[in-house]
Amino acid sequence: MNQTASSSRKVAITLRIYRALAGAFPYEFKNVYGDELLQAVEDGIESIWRRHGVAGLLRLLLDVAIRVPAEHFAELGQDIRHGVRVLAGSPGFTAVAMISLSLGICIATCAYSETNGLLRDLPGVPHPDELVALQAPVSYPTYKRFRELKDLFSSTFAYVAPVPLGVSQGGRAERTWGHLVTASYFSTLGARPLLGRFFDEADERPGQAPAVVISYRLWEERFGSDPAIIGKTLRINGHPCTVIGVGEKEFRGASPAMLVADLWLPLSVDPQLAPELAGNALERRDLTMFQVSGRLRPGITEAAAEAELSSVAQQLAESYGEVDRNQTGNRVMLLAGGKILPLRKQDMPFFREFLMVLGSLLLLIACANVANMMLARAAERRKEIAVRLALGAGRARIIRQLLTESMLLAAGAAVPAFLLSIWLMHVLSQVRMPMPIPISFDLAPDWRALLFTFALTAFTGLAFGLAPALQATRTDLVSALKEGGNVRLRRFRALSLRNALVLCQMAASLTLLLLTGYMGLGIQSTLGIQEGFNPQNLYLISLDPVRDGYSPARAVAFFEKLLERVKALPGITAACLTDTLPVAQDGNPGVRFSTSGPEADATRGEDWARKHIVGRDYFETADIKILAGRAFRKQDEKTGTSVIVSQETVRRFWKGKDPVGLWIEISKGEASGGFGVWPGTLDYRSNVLGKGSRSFEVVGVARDVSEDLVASKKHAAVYFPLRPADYVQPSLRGVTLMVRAAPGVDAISAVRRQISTMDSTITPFNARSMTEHIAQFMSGLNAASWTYGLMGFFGLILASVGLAGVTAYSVAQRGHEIGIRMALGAQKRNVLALVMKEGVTLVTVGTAVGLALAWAGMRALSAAFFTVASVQGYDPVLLVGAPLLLAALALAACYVPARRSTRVDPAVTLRMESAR
Amino acid sequence: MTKARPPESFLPLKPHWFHVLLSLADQDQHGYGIMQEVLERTDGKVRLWPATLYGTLKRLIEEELIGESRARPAAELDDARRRYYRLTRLGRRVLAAESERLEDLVRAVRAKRGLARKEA
Repeated sequence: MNQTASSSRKVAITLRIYRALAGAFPYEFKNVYGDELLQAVEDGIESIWRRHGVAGLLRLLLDVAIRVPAEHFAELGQDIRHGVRVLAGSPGFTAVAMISLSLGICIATCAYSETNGLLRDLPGVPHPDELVALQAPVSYPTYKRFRELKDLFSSTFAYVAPVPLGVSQGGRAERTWGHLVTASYFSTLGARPLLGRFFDEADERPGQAPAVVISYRLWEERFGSDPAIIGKTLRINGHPCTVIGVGEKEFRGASPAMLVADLWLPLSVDPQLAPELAGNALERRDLTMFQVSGRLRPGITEAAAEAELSSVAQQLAESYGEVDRNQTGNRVMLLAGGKILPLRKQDMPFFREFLMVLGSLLLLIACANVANMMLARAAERRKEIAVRLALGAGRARIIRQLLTESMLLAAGAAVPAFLLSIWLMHVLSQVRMPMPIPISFDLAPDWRALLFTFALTAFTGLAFGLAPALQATRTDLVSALKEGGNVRLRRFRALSLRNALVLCQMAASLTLLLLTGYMGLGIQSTLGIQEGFNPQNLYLISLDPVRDGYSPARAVAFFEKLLERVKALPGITAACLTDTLPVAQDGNPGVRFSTSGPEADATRGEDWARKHIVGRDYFETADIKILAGRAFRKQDEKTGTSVIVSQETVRRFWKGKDPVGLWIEISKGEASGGFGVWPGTLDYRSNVLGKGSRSFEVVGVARDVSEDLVASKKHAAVYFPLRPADYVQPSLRGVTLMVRAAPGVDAISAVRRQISTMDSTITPFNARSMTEHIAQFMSGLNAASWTYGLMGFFGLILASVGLAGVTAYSVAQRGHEIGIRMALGAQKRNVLALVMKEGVTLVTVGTAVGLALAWAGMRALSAAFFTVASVQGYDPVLLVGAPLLLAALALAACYVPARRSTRVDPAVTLRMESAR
Repeated sequence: MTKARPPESFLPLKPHWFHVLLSLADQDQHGYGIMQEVLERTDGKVRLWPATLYGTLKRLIEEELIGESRARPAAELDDARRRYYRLTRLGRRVLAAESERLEDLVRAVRAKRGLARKEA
């Protein structure tokens, strides 16, 4: 008896579980086969138990457990096939929807890729989150002191960057960038060599042929991935070095975006090889040119590390007897050392979010657009859906089917979107920044971007599909089935979901249009004409003979002779050597200066001005007028105490008084403002970094030159004469030969020929015309302006399509109503007026909201972008034109179908069932 | 109305499908009846589990190989909850085609002399 009791209990339990599992079958399946299935199981379970025991019961349950998801998948497959048929059936709608979504998803993915690419971890480095970097470079003795803080760091390293190196191979030298590093550089980063080895303590001993490590990229491009590269000799800056190692493929150094490195040399190399190390650079306390990074010990927070480092720095300063005027001078700040773009940890969220928000906004507009269209279509299919509901389809099933259509649209749009974003990011990565050193960003979308696109697609599909699907199935079956089902003159139609969406669409599109127009126009206006000098027929070519192996004395002689020869060339009207150029944002470090000398009015105001180092005939060659005093002469190069100031400086500092003959005191060069961030702005040369101030005599006043992105903005500038010492250790730009030629003369080739005649081993670089140079300088801005233009244009398309589609549809839907009215005797124009009234209301409200939003947006933008866009007021053409354009589009979209409906014979309209 | 597929396009027929069609060859049946008949016919070697069976029936209906039968048996044997299935004309043709294919196979096997068949 017990056995039967327990066996029947097992059977009962199995039956209960079976029923529960079978309840998970799709609605339709359950409807049709559910009862039968359960009946069959109840009938057969006893015999199964008797023949197969527990194994049989389990098999039974397994059977149903497998079938349930299988049936769901089968239904899904059906939904997909059906969805494809439906979408293919209305190609116009499908095409428009896909294009809108495609562009929206593309932009969002691009925004994500960009933030991702910029915030990526350093490649080839394990545990990058442990790395921190000092924001400002320090002196070597300071580094040595920091190195001793073993409780803070598990290891540290220092390096000098960017360092231009002339690498010669087969007689040709090429300007390559590298780092000068401590032996702990590679070991702290945790990088491993692909071939050979990295530096160790032995390499730091002076007196041997210097060892050099090359990057994978250099090895591949320059040496054809030669497997026997280890031990080979490389001539760097004219000196032979031995290659001891090759980095791994992804490894790019400690700061691949800002401080590109293809070569690594130890800090112990001869200063003849690396002029940066000249003058006992490793011992001096004032040469703060060493970048420092390290791995924090676990448990140490950045704040704690900053505090300790700051106090140590303060102690050091006091022990040297230096008291800094501004107390913040010794505050040490740490950045995330393990990221490609070193930012402070607290800055990163802002950076990330800003781009994402922008991209998401655009996607939202695209979604609203498509949602609108889908709502319209769903309304069209009300009858079909009502019939299916009446015939027993589950509401969930129908919603799922409609959602499947949305997902298909989104998925179809995602593929071209992703491909497009790959292409766009590739193009963006190629944009060359107008810096003397290459800045490389690898923005290509990776698997994370793909995943993001995927998730975004799914979300998009849901977002624009859910509302219409829900609304479509919430039909009142009876009224939908009746023929007159579409004629309900609801009083509160004004606030229907569709109308609300049209409003949002109108407002958002107007806002987007106005904002992008504002930015685009603003940028265009600043790309004005460069004033102050004559850029026509002006050519530039840069040289750095010391990197080609010249000794300092030889370099000086070379330049003198070159200048002489070039001036004598036919077709060349003027030539000069210079360090800085008229239009460049290399961030010439500025100078602080104040009046000095026996002036009675000791109002020692201090001011800051941009620093220019220019050769003797600079002003004549560039055609910059000297307004007072004189230009530089040969003896200025020897004495080095003369300076020329710009008009704006006179205006600001001397209030218009003639400064010629006055003496000013100029202190150590320091970068100012935003310049501090860009590399290549910090001038590490000892004559620049040295502390203390010197007196200079003002010998002339030069006309202002517009040298910033904003053409009309004036800058205070101080010009220093280019001296032979500068030939020897030029800035990262090298020494530039600026040449004015007669129109039509190919000055560049002539100069190149001249240089190679004098010495073919010298490699000039960066040869370009001044117009090209300015274009390059503006390239970033141009790109931005184009981007805004495109976004605005795209927004316009979206807006037009969305508005047109929705208003046209809603009017067409009223065709029945129009027919009735006309049958009852209404005049055509009265009916038209009725329809247009609603349209006008929508458009007006939408325009008002859009204008308000745009106004707020423009205020915010002008605060953030004042350096770039100098649009002071608001452009009237834009403010009036954009809304008018959109309004006209919307009203046209109302008018056309309305007119069409009034033309049709009312009898026909009334007889026809609900819209096609 | 979907276009009628030729019977040959269904070959080779899935074993489950074949058994179901075979069960319906002589008379209309309900689901449980099909299960029982297949079990008996194959001496317990082939058991059609219920969920799989109904999935199969659903597919067969979609492919128009079987349909719902109007004819009900005598009142005392009938159970109102059960649905009876019957073969469609297409179903019959497919069954015939599959049977022929299987017979061809058996003939080929028999023709290969030297293959001893195990007696049960």
